Amino acid sequence: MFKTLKMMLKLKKTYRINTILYILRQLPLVNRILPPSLTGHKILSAIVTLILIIWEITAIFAGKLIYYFGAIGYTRQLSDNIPSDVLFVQMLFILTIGGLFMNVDFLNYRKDKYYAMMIFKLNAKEYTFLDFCSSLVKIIVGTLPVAIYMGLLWNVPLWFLILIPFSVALGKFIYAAYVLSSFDRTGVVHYAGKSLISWFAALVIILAAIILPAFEIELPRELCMGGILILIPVGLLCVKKVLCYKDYLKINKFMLNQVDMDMAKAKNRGDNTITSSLDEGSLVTSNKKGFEFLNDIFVKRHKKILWKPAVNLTIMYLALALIINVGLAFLPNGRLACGNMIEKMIPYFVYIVCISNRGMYYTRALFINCDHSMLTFSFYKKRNNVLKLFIIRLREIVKINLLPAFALGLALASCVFMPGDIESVKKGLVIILTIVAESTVFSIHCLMLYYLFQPYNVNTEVKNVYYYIAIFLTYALLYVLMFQRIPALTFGLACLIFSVVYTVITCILVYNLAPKTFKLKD
Amino acid sequence: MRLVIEGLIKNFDKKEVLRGINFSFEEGKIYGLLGRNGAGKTTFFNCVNKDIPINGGTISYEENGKKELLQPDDIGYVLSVPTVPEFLTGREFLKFYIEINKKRIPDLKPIDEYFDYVGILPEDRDKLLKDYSHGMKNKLQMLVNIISNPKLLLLDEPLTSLDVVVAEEMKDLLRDVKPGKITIFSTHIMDLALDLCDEIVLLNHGELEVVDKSNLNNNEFKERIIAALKEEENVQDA
Repeated sequence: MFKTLKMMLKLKKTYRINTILYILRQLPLVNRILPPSLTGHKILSAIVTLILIIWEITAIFAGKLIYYFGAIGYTRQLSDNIPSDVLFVQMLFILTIGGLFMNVDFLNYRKDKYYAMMIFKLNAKEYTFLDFCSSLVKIIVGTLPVAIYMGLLWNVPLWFLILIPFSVALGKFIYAAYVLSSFDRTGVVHYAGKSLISWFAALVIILAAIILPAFEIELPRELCMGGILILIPVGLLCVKKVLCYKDYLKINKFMLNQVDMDMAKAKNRGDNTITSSLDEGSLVTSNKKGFEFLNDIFVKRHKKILWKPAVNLTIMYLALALIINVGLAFLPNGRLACGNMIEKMIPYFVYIVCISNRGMYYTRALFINCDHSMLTFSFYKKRNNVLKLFIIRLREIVKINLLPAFALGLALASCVFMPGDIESVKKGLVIILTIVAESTVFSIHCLMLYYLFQPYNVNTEVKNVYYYIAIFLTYALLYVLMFQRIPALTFGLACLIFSVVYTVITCILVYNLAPKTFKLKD
Repeated sequence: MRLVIEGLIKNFDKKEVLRGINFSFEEGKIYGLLGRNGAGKTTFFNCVNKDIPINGGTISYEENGKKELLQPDDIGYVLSVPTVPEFLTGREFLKFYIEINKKRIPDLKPIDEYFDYVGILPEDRDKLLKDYSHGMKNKLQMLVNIISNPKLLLLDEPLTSLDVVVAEEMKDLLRDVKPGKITIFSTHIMDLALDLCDEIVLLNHGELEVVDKSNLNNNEFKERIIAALKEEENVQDA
């Protein structure tokens, strides 16, 4: 066991250090300083090891800080009446249920697991158990101080706060035991987050976590606490199954092969969706010229992945609005509560606008079916041509996203509308304008990131650290925005002005930088 | 006109792939660029085509004693794997290419005449490029690279995976267009290089060197080329 632990730690260290080196080598100046290998470079090796230690410690606490102060803390903004201690245990209870089947680091896919068991032939049972235990230790170490600090601020009893990390950690054994039993029965490894049903259930849980406090619905505090604490005895019962299981090598092999196949299938499915999307064939044509012609044909021949989903989303938003409005007609005071809630949550809808934006799909299709080949021609990379096509594409993607954005704005406006109240009409108009402006900003943002980072390699895989950082910063910024209590009118106007300024800045950046950045990468 | 390369250096980390190349290519000739796997032939092309940054040196062309830096419009680059936008038909691709580059195209002809020139049949001209065979895509890629009459034509193993008929058609095409331009053709197939090229250039130790053919028959010439490439191996082993 000790030998396996030692090898596991060594392997993880090497794997992580290589990841850090890969990231560092993509940074402009660092790239020149770093040697091809760290062998024989003691100081550099010590620096990278230090980065690794900082990374590991940050990873242990950062996730928990975001979970407690971000996710649970955010709900305080949604409810004015639920006492803090009740809200804390309620949120913890709901999110822990989700985490039980979505966030279990047991038999999930990692490359270092593959190397350890398939190449270095480490004992599969010992490795799996030690790996699982190390993830649980991280949970306990990370959760304990954060939960105690935040829980005490929210008046939650200390004894309960101390038990939380152990309860959560032992709860993970329940899913682990389920994975092992279901593999014996079905021969399929149901690792956390594998099935679509689990994702759907997670979505329902997240919605419940938001909607309950937003509607000031509180669950009994003792029930929630009991629900969390019961994980300790149930988890302990499941530990036996995990400890006594014999076929770890077999189940790991199945899992690794299964995930490899699933990933290959998913990638092919994605690529095929795009390459097979030329449904209209050569019948579609265009009277335009030059780059306008190229873009027109592209959009017409990619209706299936560009306009069709946008139209479907539009229909969905309008149908939802209809259902909600019919429902509200039967609820006395429902319209007022619903209107107030939506008004409070306007910044939150930035996220909805962001995830329903077709920008990422558009740029992916652009690369796979057009730019991947056209970027081999020098005329295509000339500064003026890059900007010309960028502006045409920008106009196109803004148009595609505008339809569902307008429908979402209309749907929200209809929920805010109070018959006979002119103010509510004004509010509705501001909401529509805000959502449309947000959609425009995201469209510009997606296309700009594509042109400035060109994240795809020749195999159409995204391999660009800067691109990931930019995406992360985008989401982080959105998250911060959600907490801002900005009046709807101010927020809407700010969005509109920002979208215009952002367009101008983006065009300048693309004109100056894209001839260097918008190219094929190995 | 000459393509003048002076002190061209390209490194990947500490590995020197191109070590200060000094060479000049003459107009009207096809140069066969030979080198072992990993010698840096594609890197050399990518440097000339400005697809990757170079670590030193200049690439220019000299005309009537006047030297100017090579511009993107001066280069046509044909890759070994033809890459064409598959959502367009052959006719649409050609129409788009001509519209964008019409200022550079001398003696503009009707589109069908270009198709006739490379032997793409009328029934294939309005098909989507995704339904084109490898050879047809290759012909089209070659066509768009030559109709704008670039000063320099870079061909990275373009005939390697073509059937014998298409390969012969392409060779004829290259012979036909070689006057007035510099053509550099990389290949692993020695017979092809000897058959098509006017000069054989080896990429050896990160430098370019001409293999002199004077007074040698084809077999003796081949032996000299192989000996030169083996010498490179021996140097690397040492």
